[in-house]
This record gives sequence, structure tokens and C-alpha cells, in this order.
Amino acid sequence: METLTPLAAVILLFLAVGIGFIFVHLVAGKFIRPSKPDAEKKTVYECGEPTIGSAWIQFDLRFYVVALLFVIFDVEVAFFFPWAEVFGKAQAVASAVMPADDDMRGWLNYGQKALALIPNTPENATTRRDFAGMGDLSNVPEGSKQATIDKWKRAFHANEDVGRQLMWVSLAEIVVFFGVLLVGFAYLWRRGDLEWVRSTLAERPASGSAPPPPSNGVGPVAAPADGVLVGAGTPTTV
Amino acid sequence: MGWLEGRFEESVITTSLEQAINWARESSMWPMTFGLACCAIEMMATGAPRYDIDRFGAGAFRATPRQADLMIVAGTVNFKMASRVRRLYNQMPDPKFVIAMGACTCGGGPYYKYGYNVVKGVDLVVPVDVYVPGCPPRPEALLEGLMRIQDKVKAMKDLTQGQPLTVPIPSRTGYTLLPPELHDPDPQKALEKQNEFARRTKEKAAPAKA
Repeated sequence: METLTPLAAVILLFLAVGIGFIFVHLVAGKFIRPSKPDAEKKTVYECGEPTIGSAWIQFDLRFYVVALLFVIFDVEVAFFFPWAEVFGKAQAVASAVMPADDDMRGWLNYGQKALALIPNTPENATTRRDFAGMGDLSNVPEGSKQATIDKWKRAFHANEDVGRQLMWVSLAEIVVFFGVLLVGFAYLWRRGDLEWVRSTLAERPASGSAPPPPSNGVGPVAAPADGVLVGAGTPTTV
Repeated sequence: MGWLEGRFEESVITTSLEQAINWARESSMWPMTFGLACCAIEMMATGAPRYDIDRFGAGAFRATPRQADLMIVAGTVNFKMASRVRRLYNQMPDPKFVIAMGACTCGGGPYYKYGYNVVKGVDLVVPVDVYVPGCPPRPEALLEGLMRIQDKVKAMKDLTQGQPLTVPIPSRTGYTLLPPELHDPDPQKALEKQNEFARRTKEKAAPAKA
């Protein structure tokens, strides 16, 4: 086998030390700790009370609903992050102040900002080289220094427009993205998925007028069993 | 110690190893939160900054018996609670220690005579290692109790001797010992004597007519 790259070697060493650390401690503990299993010691802990039934009951399905919604909107937020990065860089370029003619430091900074927006593909190689070279007049012959600086200024003005365009386009895109997800959010809000406690009393029949007034003191047609609050500790059907 | 328990002869290596293990154990005695009554307040005060039990390593009060090695029974133990105390003691892993904090756990305390619902001393329920008397004992007293437990841990010889196999059975009955004028082998006569005593003391305690 050929020698490992340094990165692979580091990762393997990390894994080996981590696994070794755990297993050495577990094995040493196995020898050192007392082992006196007992029927009473192995009973299930319930604050000292004797347990009633098994702990393997069905979990409340509302937790599933909440978890599902969380995952969806969390992934949405995850998509916000790369957008925010690009938007920030575009904004940096669009709102940059043109450095003075002799401010090489300023030109270097500006070059880096513009470089951050240009992807590293073969077609962009020359443009990237140009921007990377901003602020560096060491390789330029004496006579054409001013020409180079003028070239930079023209690039700057072009970038201003490009940056502003990029900002608006990306803003529109994220608004559309967010809008679609907001529609979904509104839908599930209306549907009642965000309510923790649901009551069937609140759900009136679609074709109904108000229930007839009680004639003999008995309540509305819905039997008392229907008025039970669903979801108050019993497994719900979602 | 599991497999290693009681296997070795006493030598410089095993005694040093025992010392090291015992030092590790005594410096990290994690108590179980078992405050039942007023002594719990003093236990909380011991955990607070001024009397800081954490400098002894015992500041991590675990709520579950599975992670605790010290049970500080702080407060009056009723008959209703006694079964829970025993069950939680059973659920603690070895090596486990018990501090009986306060007068109620040491022998019934102020409820010794008339407390019909009080277990007269928690050592009737769980085997106690250290008794800390007081009503309630000051935090310094509880810290001394903890240090006595640490001494007990220091004297443990797991590698050479191993741990005891059986749990001690209490030798007391927990019933109060009444003086002869209140006690009679016949329960009916004993009841009459006690009622007579109560009536007499009540008469004596009646306020004088002004």
C-alpha cells in the first residue's frame, strides 16, 4: 500500500485515539467497578414508586408533527445561509467607495471583494487574475502605471452596476423562495397543525346553522363525548 | 471490583492502587437529592457557596439513584416514604453509602414518642454509614459527616479483601421504650395507663382562673 496522504493519516489517527480512549476506559472500568447485580437493583426507576405497566407506550403523535415542521423550516433556513453570503458579497461590491489613485491598500481590498464574487472556473481565469492583481503596481513599467489605474477605475464602475443588479436579482429570488414557504406556513396554520390542544367542540358541521335551542334542558345534538378535548394526554389521530 | 475483587495479596502495588482508587472515589462522592424535610434546607445551604460541598467533590447532586453513590437522607422518614427510601437504596449501584442527617433519621428525633407515622430512625430501613445528629445539623456538621464517609472510603480494601456480601440487619425494633408507669404487657391496661397519664397532665396544664 502506498503511503497515506497527511490528511488521511491525521483522520485515521484521530479515529484511533478516540476509539482507544473510549475502550480503554470501558475495559478498565469493567475490571475496577463492583458488579453486584440484584433483582431489586435492576427494577425500573420511577422515583421510588413501584412501576405500573410497561414504559413502552405510544408516544404522543403531536411531537411527530412538531418535529416534521421543524425539519422543514430548518432546511429552509439552511438554504438562507449561502444566499446571505452571496448577497453580502454583492452588497460589499456595490456599495464600495472608490479608493484614491495612490491608495494601493484600498485597491487591494477592493480587488479581494470583487474576486469573492467571481467563481473559480477556467473561463474566468483572466478576469480573476486581473482582479487579484489590483493594488499591485510592482510588475507594471513606469509609464503605464496611470493607465493601469485608469483600467481599475473603469472596472470599478462596471462592477458597481453589476453588483447592484446582482443584489436586486438575488433579493427577488429569496423573496419568491420565502413567499412559497410562507404560503405553506399559512396553510398549516389555518389547518390547525400548530395547535397543541385541539377541541372537537370548535369544529362545527359545514352545512350547519346554529344548533337548535335546547327544548328540554338537554344541550346541543353533539353528545358530551364529542366535547372531550382531543389531544389532552391521549394519543391523537393526526 | 467485579473480577478483581479480593484477588490480590497485600503488597506495595495493591495498597498503592487501592489508595489511588479510594482517593478517586472519596473525592467524587455524588450525593442523591434526598431532602425529605427541614434538613433538606441545611443540605441546600451546604451546597450553596458559603459552605460549599462542591470543594469536596460532592457538589453534583444527582436526581437519579443510578448515578449517585451517596444517599444523604435529610429529613423525617414516614412509613409511607420508607418503602420508597428502601427501593431507591436498592436501585443505587455499589459502592453506596448512606448518611443519616438530622435527629429524625438518627432515631426518630422529636417525633420519637408521639409520632405514629414516623419511622424511628432510617437505619431501620437502610443500612446507615454515618449519623449526623442535629435538628437540623449545621452545614459544618454535614460536611464533617461527609468527611467521615471519606474516611470510610479511605479504609476500603477492595482489591485485597473485597466488599461485604450481606447488608446489615437492624438490631433495633423502632418501638419507643416507655417508662413503667405507662407500660403494661396487657395492651388494654397499657392504654388505660396512658390515657390516665394524658388526663392528669392536661389537668395540670390547665391555665389558672384569673
